[in-house]
Amino acid sequence: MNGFAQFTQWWLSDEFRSAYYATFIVTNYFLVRELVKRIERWDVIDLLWKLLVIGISGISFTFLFQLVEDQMFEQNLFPYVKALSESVSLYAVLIFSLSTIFIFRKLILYQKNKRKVWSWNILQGLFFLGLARLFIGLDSVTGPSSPAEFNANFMQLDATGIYTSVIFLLFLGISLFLSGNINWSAYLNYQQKIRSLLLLFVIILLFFAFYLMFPFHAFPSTDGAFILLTRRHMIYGMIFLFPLIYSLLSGLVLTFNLQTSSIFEQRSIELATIQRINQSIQANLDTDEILRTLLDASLLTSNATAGWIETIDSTTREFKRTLSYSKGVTKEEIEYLRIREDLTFTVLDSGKHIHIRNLRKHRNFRYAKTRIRSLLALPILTSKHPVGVVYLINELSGSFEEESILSLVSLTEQSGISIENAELVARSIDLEIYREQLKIAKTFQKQILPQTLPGTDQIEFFVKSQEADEIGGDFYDVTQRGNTYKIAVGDVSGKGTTAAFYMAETKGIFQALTQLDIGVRDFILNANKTLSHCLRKGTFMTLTYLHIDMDDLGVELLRAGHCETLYYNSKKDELCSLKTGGPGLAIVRDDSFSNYTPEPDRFLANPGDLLILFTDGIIEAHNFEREEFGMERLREIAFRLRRTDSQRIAETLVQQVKAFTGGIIDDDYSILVIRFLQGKQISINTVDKNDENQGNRA
Amino acid sequence: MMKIREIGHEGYVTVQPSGELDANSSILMDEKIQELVDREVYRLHIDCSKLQYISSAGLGVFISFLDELHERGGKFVFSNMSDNVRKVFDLLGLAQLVTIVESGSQVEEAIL
Repeated sequence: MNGFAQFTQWWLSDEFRSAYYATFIVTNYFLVRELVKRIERWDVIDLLWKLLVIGISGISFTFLFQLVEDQMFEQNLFPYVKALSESVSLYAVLIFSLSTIFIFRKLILYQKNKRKVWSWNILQGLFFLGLARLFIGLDSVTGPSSPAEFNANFMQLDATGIYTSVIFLLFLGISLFLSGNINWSAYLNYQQKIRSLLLLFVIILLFFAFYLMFPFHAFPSTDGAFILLTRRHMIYGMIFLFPLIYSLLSGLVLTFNLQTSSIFEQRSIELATIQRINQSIQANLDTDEILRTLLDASLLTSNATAGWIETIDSTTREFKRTLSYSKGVTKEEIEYLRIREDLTFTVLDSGKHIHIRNLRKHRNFRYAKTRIRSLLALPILTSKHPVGVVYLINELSGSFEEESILSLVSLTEQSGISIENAELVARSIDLEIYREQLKIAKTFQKQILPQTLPGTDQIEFFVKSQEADEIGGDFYDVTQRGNTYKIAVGDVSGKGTTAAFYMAETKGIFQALTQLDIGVRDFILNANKTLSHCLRKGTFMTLTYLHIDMDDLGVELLRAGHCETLYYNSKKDELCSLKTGGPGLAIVRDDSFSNYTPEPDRFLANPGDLLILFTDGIIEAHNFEREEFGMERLREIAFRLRRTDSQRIAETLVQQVKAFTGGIIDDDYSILVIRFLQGKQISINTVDKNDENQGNRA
Repeated sequence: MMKIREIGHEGYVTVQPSGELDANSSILMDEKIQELVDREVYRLHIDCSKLQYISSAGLGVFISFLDELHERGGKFVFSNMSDNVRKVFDLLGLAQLVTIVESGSQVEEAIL
């Protein structure tokens, strides 16, 4: 044999032809895979369109070449044209099928998971195993000489047959499994579904067209060509099979989903609306605004043709209700329905919505002259109080679906929460304002109490006080009038703001009274008379009031319900309590008060003597065992400190009280220490009310 | 938390607060006495045997009703005061304004 004949023989040999086909298919396989990978936009319609374009161009080329082939049937060039036409046809089928496979792969691996990717890899593996079939069994049989023989052979399960069948069946199984992944279809709206369906339909048609134009006649011949055909058949079968199954199943799924898709779509629109509304409601801090949005949203997301909101005023116990907003319904209509049956309180009491499917079948609305057929009433509640009820109506019966009722319920619940949030924010703003005002009040109160106490080389005053809350009812004042010091230490009953306001009032009264040159007892009688008019019933004031005449150090002291005063007599070196006094101020509000009020203590003090005045915050301070600090401890400490200066005495006493209670004194307290001096140094003491700045002596 | 017991008698009512009578619980006491006054009970016996502590606000409740009871020919009688409570009454001068007896057996005599 010459070289050419050898070459021809080799060229025509099965091995070469198989290798040629395998290379051809594999090359195109990877080519198409790459091309499809480059498509970045994930859009079902767009992908299917691309497929369609490829398919139509393929089929057109095939058709065109077959036309030419037919035209040339009688001519010499015919065999070449025929070969060319067949190649084009095969190539078109291959490219179209591969494109379909890889585009479907994109669809299948949408929302990919491990299982899908693995299945896909197996499918790909099986495909290559199918390709290997091209090289198997080349020498075993010469092959069937006719399709009939082929069919007969096909049933015989020799090794090649088993291989073929197993691969083919596995491929079929995996294809079916993968074809189940059509979840992309769920994300299409109705229109998109229709379009994809049409596109898929055309694609399936194209497959049939390709099948009809498939150049089967290119294969059958004698000497083993049929085997090759079956081998190629298998590969082409595989290439055809998967996309065909997938398009058919997708088409079916889409067809069945068409009906539900409109419902899903409406639902998803509803959800989107609700979400948008929720956001706007949440951001809203105005209750009225929230309610208006709620009504608009409820109408938008349900089948309701009209609706209204009734709110109730829960601040009063009467639960007065008002029609807040209405749309598409008149006041008279609402009123008419309410007379038949008042649903508002039923709904609010139960906290659950009421749905009347058909008013004509409802016991109370049966004979109502109204266009309304179905009605939905939903409660708007906060965790603390009911807000109102949303009413939605429709002129058709049974127009509210369970689905939309559910979303309406969540919408009204959300509104309730938002209203509560709005209220909380408003309240915290109020609180902040109050706190600011309290701060201002405290500053004012500090100004009411004297910032500096007078002092000379003959007498020294030191006061230490603190209000239990922000502000309190303790009061003290030292006024100099001529050669007389007028000193008051008192406590308005109660704590906090009320006490503080009364204390401020007291200050004015006392200031006025100290201008009168009256005795200590008259001062107290007058103060009682005035305060009886000013203080609310049940509120009273305790007071210790004294005059010190600096000419002879004469002291005149009277108690009105207030704690006793400690007096240290330096000559006798003894500490005693001054207790003379009557009831607190504004307790007995008539003239009989004077009957209970005795004449004051009068005595002459000596230089070196001490007077310690205080309020009940000191002696009533208690420890964790609820034991009171008491007078005895106070006396002991005062006696021990009798020779120290007034500031030291006041500060040590407070320290001792705090040590006793464990750090806190939970009531207002004040201590005023008066020391009579020998008359040498001049000192003015500033008031030190801040505990942290102790030892800060002026 | 303070509790208030009410015991009716021929001609007067016994009110027995237990616990601490402070600014918070004084509201309850105030309501109680107001309710009795509304029922035209003007002779009130306050049994202090279970009263542990009384604050100025607590005293304020009794003070606020002093005049009204007096005007209507009634009165407060306090009994079984602990030293603590007694001290506060003395200090404030209330001991002069109300009747205070040692034990419950003396109440009837003092109140009617």
